[in-house]
Amino acid sequence: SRRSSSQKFTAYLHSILNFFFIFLSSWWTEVQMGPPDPILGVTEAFKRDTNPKKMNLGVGAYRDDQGKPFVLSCVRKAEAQIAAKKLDKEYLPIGGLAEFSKACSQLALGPDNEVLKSGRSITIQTISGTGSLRVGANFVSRFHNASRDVYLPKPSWGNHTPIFRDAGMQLKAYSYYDPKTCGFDFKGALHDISKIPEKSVIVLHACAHNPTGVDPRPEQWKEMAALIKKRNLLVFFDMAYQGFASGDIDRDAWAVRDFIEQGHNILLSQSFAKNMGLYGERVGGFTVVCKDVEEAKRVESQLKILIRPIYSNPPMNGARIASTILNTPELYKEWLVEVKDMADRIITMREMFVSNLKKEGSTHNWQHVTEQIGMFCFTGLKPEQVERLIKEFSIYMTKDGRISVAGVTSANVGYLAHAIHAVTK
Amino acid sequence: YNLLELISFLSFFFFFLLACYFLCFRFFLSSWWTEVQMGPPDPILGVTEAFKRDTNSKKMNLGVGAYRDDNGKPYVLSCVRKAEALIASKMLDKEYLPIGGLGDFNKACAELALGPDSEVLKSKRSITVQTISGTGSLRIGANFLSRFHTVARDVYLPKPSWGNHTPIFRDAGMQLKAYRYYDPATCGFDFTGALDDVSKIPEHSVIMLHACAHNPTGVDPRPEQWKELSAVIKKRKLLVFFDMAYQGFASGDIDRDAWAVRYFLEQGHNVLLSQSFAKNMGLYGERVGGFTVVCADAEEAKRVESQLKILIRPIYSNPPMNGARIASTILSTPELRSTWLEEVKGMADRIIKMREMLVTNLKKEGSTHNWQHVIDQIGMFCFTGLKPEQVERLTKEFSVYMTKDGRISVAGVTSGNVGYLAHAIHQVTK
Repeated sequence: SRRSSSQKFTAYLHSILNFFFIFLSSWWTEVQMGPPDPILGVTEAFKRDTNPKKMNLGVGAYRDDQGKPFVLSCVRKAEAQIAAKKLDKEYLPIGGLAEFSKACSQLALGPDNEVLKSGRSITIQTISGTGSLRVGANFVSRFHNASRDVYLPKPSWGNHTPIFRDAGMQLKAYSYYDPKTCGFDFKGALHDISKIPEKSVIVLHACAHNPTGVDPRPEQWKEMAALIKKRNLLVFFDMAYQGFASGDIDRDAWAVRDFIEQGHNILLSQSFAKNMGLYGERVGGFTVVCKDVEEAKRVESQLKILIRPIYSNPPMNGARIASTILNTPELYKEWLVEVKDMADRIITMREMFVSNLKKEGSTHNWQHVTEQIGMFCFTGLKPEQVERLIKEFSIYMTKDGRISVAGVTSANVGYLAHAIHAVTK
Repeated sequence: YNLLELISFLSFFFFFLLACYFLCFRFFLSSWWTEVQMGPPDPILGVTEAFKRDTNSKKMNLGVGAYRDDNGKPYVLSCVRKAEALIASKMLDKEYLPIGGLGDFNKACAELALGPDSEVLKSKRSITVQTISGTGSLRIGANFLSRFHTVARDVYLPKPSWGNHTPIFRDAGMQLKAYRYYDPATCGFDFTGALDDVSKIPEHSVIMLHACAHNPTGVDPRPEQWKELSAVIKKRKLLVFFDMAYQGFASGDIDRDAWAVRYFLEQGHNVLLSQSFAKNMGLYGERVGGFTVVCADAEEAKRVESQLKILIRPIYSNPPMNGARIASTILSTPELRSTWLEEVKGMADRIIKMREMLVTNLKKEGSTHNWQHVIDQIGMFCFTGLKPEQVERLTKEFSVYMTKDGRISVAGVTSGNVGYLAHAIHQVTK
């Protein structure tokens, strides 16, 4: 600092005077302290805990059998390939990396899909699943004038609500989870859907429903597709776990593809956070299936106008990685194997969890733990039981009793079963 | 009798066909997006698209504000490559960042803008969150204002301002107004006009100021002028929102470019501040930026932080990690930081040189116009003063592409093409 001491003194005086000025007038006096994010708040509490046996079953981030974050080997290879090319860092187009968007839509719809062949859809790169849902919510808010209502399954991912609400939509719900069976309330869902006003938006979790892990069976999906068509609803699929649910990317995308075959012109959000482990790189896609190519072009132009004043253009790094994997045959094969391994480990943990509970002597029916699919399990635990698990056993989960099975390992599954038995016997 | 039966059968059949037709028609031709109009292409990015289609070998893209080296090539800074190598060797994971982004980045980002000895930082009375470059930062700020600055809906932009400012604030729910800034008669700063307009802005309105290297004009207030503006703005009790997208890039000196921001803070303005690392670190597509709210005290900063997180979570949950890791590594590794300061000065110097060469070449062409403003203006852009018809001729006859307002990106000028550019401009202005 090249200022003289008198200048420094003046600045100091200024600061004192301004302290009073600021003290008397502040822009943000009325800003209240907001509650911490329910899901991310769990991790914060976990970090503060000093118990060596602590378990974080809060955030849905995959862990290997040592409880460590897992960076896929196909990702490391893709990164090496990209680094070797010494690419520049020029802005991507507003809609993102074209090779990524193409591969992203092919992954979801299947490469032979009529929609892709006819060019009647538009897929843009987004900031992972959340960014995709928000762009979709904003698009619907601006252009779907026929209705303000978005119907979410009950329950749904917590963040769905503020996403649609902040975009200007109204939130409603349809029955989905049956707490009595810890399974799908098929009758209730059909009943509620049959009453949804025409042209409302309905959000469907394509696979591995978050937070319950409860998915409709194919026959049930078919009935829902027919009913939704009858009610003339705008379908918005959220697919955050393709490949992660069953271990098979085509099987996990079955509902999305079937709905399209049945004539639904859907909206679709995809995330590569979990299935490629690209969490913090923020890779996702948003797709609008249109009537024809001409409509797709109009929709694309409006999506760009919407995105430009939010973030101008999306981040390049994760999209380059995902695109490299999807478009390089050996890496793509390797990815399919790794995603299946992740899904299999989770399925194994579910089975070990239930057998350990039985060994502990639990007489409850834990069938739902192995029937539910994907990263999460809706244990059926009540808030008081969850509280005890946190306080007495340092096992962290969200208040609704949802655990991230990805956080369970062969080493800690016994402790988990013991703790859960202790609070439920 | 049979005829009657035949007629009723046929009419029922006809109506049955009609019903089927409408049911199918309704489904096959019914569409959710029939009313969606084709939107106009982005004025700035649209220039690049037109440029790409042009086959003229002498074509020049002076549209987008992305730096080019003297060979007209994109330039990845060597400190960036080094930082990338460092990061790659650490084999870091890809776990989600916190909603507010990478802590180390936020700290370094704020220090860069405010200076390491800032009283604001020492008292912890500000909050800085990582954002999706400058645009993401501005939009978070706009959304925050829309939600919490309920005393006024008006945001005052300088006339002209970056085109994207308008939809950013408008889509966030604010009303756009303007204060005089650019004087087309001098191609310089309309100081009297600005003071006059600013003195009339209703109390508590938001006023947007470009911290340095005004976009699109390249016209910046001088320090004495900043001081007077600060006093009037304080008197009018306006909420100051600084957009600093070119720190280091304007004069080549990061402290000098941040002078206005730091001065305003010293004068007691609790500012909002958007920063971008797209240009000064060449991190364009990595999307690295920061948003800062300077508060009354640490307690208020905590409240504001909690609300920023609640705002951000339903937009994108948490920001992209890669660019922030690179920027953070550069800012906190002494050798990399030194290299960066040199490289950013190198970029700024090349631009200043191109400005001088353009004017020299225009004189050599025989132009009698006063081109002094080309040298007086600062940063990546130059408001040439060319009229739309002249811009059109430049595009059509010479394949020189710029935005319709006559703004050129000096970063797109090289020693190889500055002669051609001067020749073309002279042709359309003589």
